[in-house]
Amino acid sequence: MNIDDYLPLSAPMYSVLITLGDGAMHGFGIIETFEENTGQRGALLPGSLYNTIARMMKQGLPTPSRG
Amino acid sequence: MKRGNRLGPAHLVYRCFLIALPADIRRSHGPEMLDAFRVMWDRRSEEGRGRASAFVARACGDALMEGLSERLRRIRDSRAVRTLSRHRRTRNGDGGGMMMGDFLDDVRLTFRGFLRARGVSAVLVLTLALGIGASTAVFSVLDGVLLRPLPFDEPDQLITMRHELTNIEGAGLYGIPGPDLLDYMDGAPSIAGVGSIAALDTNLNDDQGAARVTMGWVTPDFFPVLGNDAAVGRMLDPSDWTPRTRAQMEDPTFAPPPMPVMLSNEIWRDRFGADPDLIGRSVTINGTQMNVIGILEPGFRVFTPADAAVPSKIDAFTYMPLPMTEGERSAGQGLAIARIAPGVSIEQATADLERVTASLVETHERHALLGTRLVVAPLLDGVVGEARSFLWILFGSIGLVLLIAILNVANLLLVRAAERNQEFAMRIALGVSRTRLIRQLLTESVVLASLGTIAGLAFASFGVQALVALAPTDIPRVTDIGIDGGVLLFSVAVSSVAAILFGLAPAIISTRVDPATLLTSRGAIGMGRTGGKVRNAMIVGEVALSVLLVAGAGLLLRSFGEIAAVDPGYDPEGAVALEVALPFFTYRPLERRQAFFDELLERSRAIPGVTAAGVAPRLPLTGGSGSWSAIYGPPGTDLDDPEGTRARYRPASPGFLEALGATLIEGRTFDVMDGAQGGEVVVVIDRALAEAAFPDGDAVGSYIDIAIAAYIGNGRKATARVVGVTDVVRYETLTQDGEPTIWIPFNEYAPLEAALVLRGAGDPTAAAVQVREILRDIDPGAPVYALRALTDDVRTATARSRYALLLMAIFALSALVLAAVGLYGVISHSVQQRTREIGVRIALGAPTTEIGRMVLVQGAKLAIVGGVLGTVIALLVTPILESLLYQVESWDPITLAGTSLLLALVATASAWFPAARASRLDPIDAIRTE
Repeated sequence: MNIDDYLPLSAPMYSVLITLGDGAMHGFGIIETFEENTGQRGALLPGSLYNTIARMMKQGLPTPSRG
Repeated sequence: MKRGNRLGPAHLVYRCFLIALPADIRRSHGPEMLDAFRVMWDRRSEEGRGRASAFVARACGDALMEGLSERLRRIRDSRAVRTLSRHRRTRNGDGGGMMMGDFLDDVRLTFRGFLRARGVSAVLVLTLALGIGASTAVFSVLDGVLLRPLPFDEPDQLITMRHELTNIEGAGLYGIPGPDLLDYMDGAPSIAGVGSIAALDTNLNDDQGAARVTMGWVTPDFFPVLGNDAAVGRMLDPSDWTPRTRAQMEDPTFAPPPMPVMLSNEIWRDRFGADPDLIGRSVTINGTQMNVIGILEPGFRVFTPADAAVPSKIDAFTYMPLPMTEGERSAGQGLAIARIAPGVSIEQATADLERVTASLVETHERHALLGTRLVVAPLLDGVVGEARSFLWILFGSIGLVLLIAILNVANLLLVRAAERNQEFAMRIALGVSRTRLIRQLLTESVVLASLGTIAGLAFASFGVQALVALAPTDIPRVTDIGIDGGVLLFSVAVSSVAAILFGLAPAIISTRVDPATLLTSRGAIGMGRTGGKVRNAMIVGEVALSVLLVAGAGLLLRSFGEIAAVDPGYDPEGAVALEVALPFFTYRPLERRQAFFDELLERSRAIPGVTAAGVAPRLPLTGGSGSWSAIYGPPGTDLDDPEGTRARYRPASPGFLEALGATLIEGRTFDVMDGAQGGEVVVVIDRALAEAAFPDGDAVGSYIDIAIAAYIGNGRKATARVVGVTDVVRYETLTQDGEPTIWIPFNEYAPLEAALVLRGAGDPTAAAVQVREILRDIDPGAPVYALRALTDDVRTATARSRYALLLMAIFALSALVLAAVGLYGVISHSVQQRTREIGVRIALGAPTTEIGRMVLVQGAKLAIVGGVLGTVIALLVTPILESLLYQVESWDPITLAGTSLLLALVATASAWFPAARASRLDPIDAIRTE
């Protein structure tokens, strides 16, 4: 895997990766945690979040976990 | 998945927006998205409606953008794979079936390239858009006025026929009187028919009051010759015609039976609300009842020559009241229009008609006396008249601007192609054929030209509006101007030619690369000797063309200065004018007209602030008639001798010369007693006549013989005493001395229509209100119209020169800007190419001023060669401007010197920046540059 292929990171991708650093969480949890951590409300919206997740999953970045 | 127990409208909206996302994402994450949306929306709703709505809007926008960009990304990825494989398959691009695919690839590559170099691309498209847009706009004017056929059956077969009286100097062209027309019809078999029309402004009265209309009197064959149809009702039919005798016409007690009349569509609409029941009803025009039988097509025009007494726009048509056998031979009123028989050339028809003229001159003494000659011209020629050369000059000039724009684009493309030399070398090395590269570059030109055309058409639609709005009123057929299929075709043709012109040279030159040298020398950016030479030649061409346009604009500017400096012989400042017209039947007796105008004048002088008021049949610089040319001479002169000395007779009321502001040189002007019945006839003459007739300066108090009202037959002969001399008033045009003038008392003649001039009335509208009140009091049936400040007439008279100057100035300015941009581009590119060389020079101790001078000289050389070339061409070409010039020679040295100076300034300025940059180069950096 070549890290350069993912650079520059898009804003939602960056937010998702930073937030997932805290551990596994479900989609809406990402939004909540992101808003809590950054204090920015509404910077991450469902459309961009899930589209990003879908793309990242295709590239194999986050893996879905059960539970 | 938890389906929401309450799906509000917000959720439904959001769900719709999710459709933007690709189906697989919707399937896998759609429900989660909706859930997340619901939770977030619920929270915001608690904070208030505003926040909730803002959130819905943002969330929907986010879904839409994400969806679209994801779809785009996927298209791009799949295409990249396909393109790669196709490239492998058709590296040499000659596999016939792949042509279209190649073309689409090229188009895509082009757009990608344009986006990469946004600034340059914008400049390129804008330059082209301006060139194409401006030339399309000018072409649409040319097309509407000159090229489009007249809206009649077989308009090429229509000709105008007029009589010239060669024995009378400067008499102009006359209509052909009825008896002569009958002879032409009988004697010229190559003519299918002849009709004649005369026009007069008159009054239309209905329950809304009086209005001014132009009435056309036609002979029975007039409309059959034109061959047009009525929009409503029917056309005039020869069977409607019941001519009267002259005795009936002159009998004041004769009550004429109602005449048939056709109305123009405009009058029908504006005055009668497009009432279809108007047909068969009667209206009062010119004091007589007339039966409306038909309405003409919208926009119907007769299309008469500009110098004919009949205007193109006529409001109502009826038959001539007199039989065609009436009337004196040789010079008639109006205009004759004939239709040539099918299959006959205009030359044959003219020869046929001229034979008839020759026999007329043989048989009728009056023709022989006046030296009648027939003048035949295609109807369109006459209509277009002087505007023809003016419009072609405009068109030629805009063509030059377009050419400069094309050269500039070619120039920029050459530079860009040079910067891509390495790319081309690489692709050639990889096996792409040169043809394929040329094709790609040409595709770029086509795309560029197409973008330029689209933007250009937008410019053109504004440009056309501006051109029409600014156009002087004497440009014929202005209403026909617009962008239509023909104009579109023109702009597409122009842009295709342009694309080939500016695309071919860069394509051929820049693909002539040897891949080996380029790749090994690490791609020294440049375009070789040919490219440089071509670019220099282009700049020289641009400069030369600009010189041509600037010289043209300069000549028009000088000429306009001369026109503006002309002394019209009167003072238009501070005076207002308006026109008044009397109904024919009420005011047939001269005494009634005299009484009307006497009262009007007396009461106008009483308006507060008015220092002088006067009437005359016509004011200076307004066209039309209202004066006549006749013989005068010392007492005892034979006033019927056609060889006698002629003067122009102009009626003027007491106070008129003062109100007009004419300069009185000696003696006095008219007073109220002049022109009274039975009194002595007195006249005022102008300086030109005083110098010609009284070279000893004893004009005032001398006597001359004159023929008053000589326009009606021979008029009344009288011996008149000269009481005053005025300066020469420029009546016909600002730029020409007219005939010497004799002012005669207005009351000797008192026409039905006259212009009232008030001096000192201040605000024209206030004065008009007062005059309207006075007129309503004297006679409510007499309309007042054409109210204006006297200065407006002067402005209208200079309108065409101003228009020509304005357009040429705009063209010249665009040319200069484009040439400056081109010169700047060439010089700065060459500085960039020579960076290393310049660095070495500086390192070796060359003073920076020397470097700057070297660059400036390079620009100056191009400018001088272009300037000299342009001046030579200008000397050869500017004589075609002669018809637009006044008191300026086409080789005017001041203009040419000014042009050279302006050009030198512009060239210096455009080479200055690259020169300054070159002299500031840091030698270390410069030498390191690759």
